[in-house]
Amino acid sequence: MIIDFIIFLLVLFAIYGIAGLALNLTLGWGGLINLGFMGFLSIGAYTSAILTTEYHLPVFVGIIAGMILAALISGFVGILIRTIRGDALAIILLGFNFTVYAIGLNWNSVTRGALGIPGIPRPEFFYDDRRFLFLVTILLLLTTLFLYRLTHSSFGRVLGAIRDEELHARVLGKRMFRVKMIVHIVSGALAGLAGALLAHFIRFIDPASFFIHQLVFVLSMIFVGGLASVPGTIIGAFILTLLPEMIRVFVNLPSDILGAIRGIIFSLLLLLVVMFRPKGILGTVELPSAYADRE
Amino acid sequence: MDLILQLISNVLIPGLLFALIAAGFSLTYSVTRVLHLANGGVVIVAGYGFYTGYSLWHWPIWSASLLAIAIAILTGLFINAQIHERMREHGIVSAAGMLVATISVLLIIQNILLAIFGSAPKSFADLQGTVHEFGPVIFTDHEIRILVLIPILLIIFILLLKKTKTGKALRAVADHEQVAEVVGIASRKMRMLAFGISSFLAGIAGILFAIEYNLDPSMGIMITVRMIFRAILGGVGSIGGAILGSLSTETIVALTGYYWNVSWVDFSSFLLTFVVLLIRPNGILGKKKRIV
Repeated sequence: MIIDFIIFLLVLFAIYGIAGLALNLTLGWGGLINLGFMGFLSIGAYTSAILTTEYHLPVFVGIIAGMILAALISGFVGILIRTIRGDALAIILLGFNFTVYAIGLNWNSVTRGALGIPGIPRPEFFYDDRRFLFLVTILLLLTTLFLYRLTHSSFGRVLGAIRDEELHARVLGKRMFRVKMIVHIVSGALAGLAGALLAHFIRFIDPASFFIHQLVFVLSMIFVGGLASVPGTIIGAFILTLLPEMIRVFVNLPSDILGAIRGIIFSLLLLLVVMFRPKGILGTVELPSAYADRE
Repeated sequence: MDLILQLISNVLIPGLLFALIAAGFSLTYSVTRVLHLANGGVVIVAGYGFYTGYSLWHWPIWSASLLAIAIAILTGLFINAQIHERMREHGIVSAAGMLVATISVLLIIQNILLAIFGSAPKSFADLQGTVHEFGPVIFTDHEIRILVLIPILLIIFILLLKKTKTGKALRAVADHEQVAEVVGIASRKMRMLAFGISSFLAGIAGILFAIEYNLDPSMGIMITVRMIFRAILGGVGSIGGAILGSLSTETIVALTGYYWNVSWVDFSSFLLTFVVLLIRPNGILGKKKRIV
């Protein structure tokens, strides 16, 4: 009994670990306040869910299609926003998230609107939770390794330079747009992967699964764990997926109050971390000052 | 002609409500440089304050309204003093940090209200009053209240910023904080004042909004998101921009609802903002630093 529950939590941890790494790539290493992140997760999840339930394609085809579509849209958004900076950029990306939510809610013929998509299949070989855990663990390891290599390469150093001193990096002749596009596309693909895995694991998605509450959850993960840190992200994902379950085990409350309390705890945790320890547990950077680009 | 009049009446009510909310948001942004996303939370706090006074404690409308506005102002001042001023003292001024903090505050407010009052919508149908027909246009008593009260408030607000000494001091801090300090303006006080004024406006908007559209906790995020689309469309930091942005977005919303489908209004209003921002990155009336 309890072991099944632990496996369930570990799968969630691995999926959110991938999502956290994807968000940290844009927010921590890239310095882009990516408040539209849940939109990319949603695109991956919906693409894969629709392809496997409506068109009965194999699950792996669905997941890869979800990744590709999320990466393409992320790249397209990257092209559109290249002239916008600072606070307006964060708001636009938040608006993107909201737009994806609105489309999911209203494009009834494709997304089934607020009803959501039930009965999303698991991959055949990884049907039960233990095997699924095996699959997501491997994917989390691969993602971790990939991001570690990416951010510790010369590419990672250019990325850090652009985040901290955009003008200097430009003076040195670094190709900003290309670097930023790579970040957008990789982060979008990983977000699509996490979203599709979540859809196939929970086997049900609706637009509310990818909205601002979940954005705050993933944001808390990387702010608690640490910006621009691979181990920090993993630790953050671990703490944050276990925390709400702790509350559920120790306190017995009706479910709507529990949901509210869960929301309060995540938001409060995020607020306290941002106020008192902005680098998080293992973080290496603080984001550039809000005033720098205004003066 | 009838159709145009009906559309205008559909534009004015939500447009004025959002103009009031977005004007406060723009003021806080230009004076404190904080994107005060929790403003939508302050709006519903006022709504629930009114609900507590009017429906739970059976107070008269006026005292319930005063209670709601007082709670809204206290909430705004508390957010400023305990979070934004503290973050300034700690030297945490990263755009991401400020944004994430203010989103957290919004969600905390919304979830506290959810835990206390539950998710069922609260209605104030008895306060909407009787229906009046003006040719093709129909207004309730409450909508006439909105049409009269909000323009007066906005005019007083703009006059206060333009003509009074305090208004000049506010604009000075918005223009350049250090220089304002040098000439003897207490910028900390001005930041407090900006949060106080915007929460006052949000409080009034919250009461009017709750009576017109009912009240439930998830409205906090919705109001915030709609408020920022409208504010950045007009140009963040510009009061005229907030009004213009609200009215033009509501026009698009009304046209979308009429020619297409009501459920796509948020999508089309975001599209409008996005397209405008691609052409004018600072919004329609936005200049680098501008207030009024």
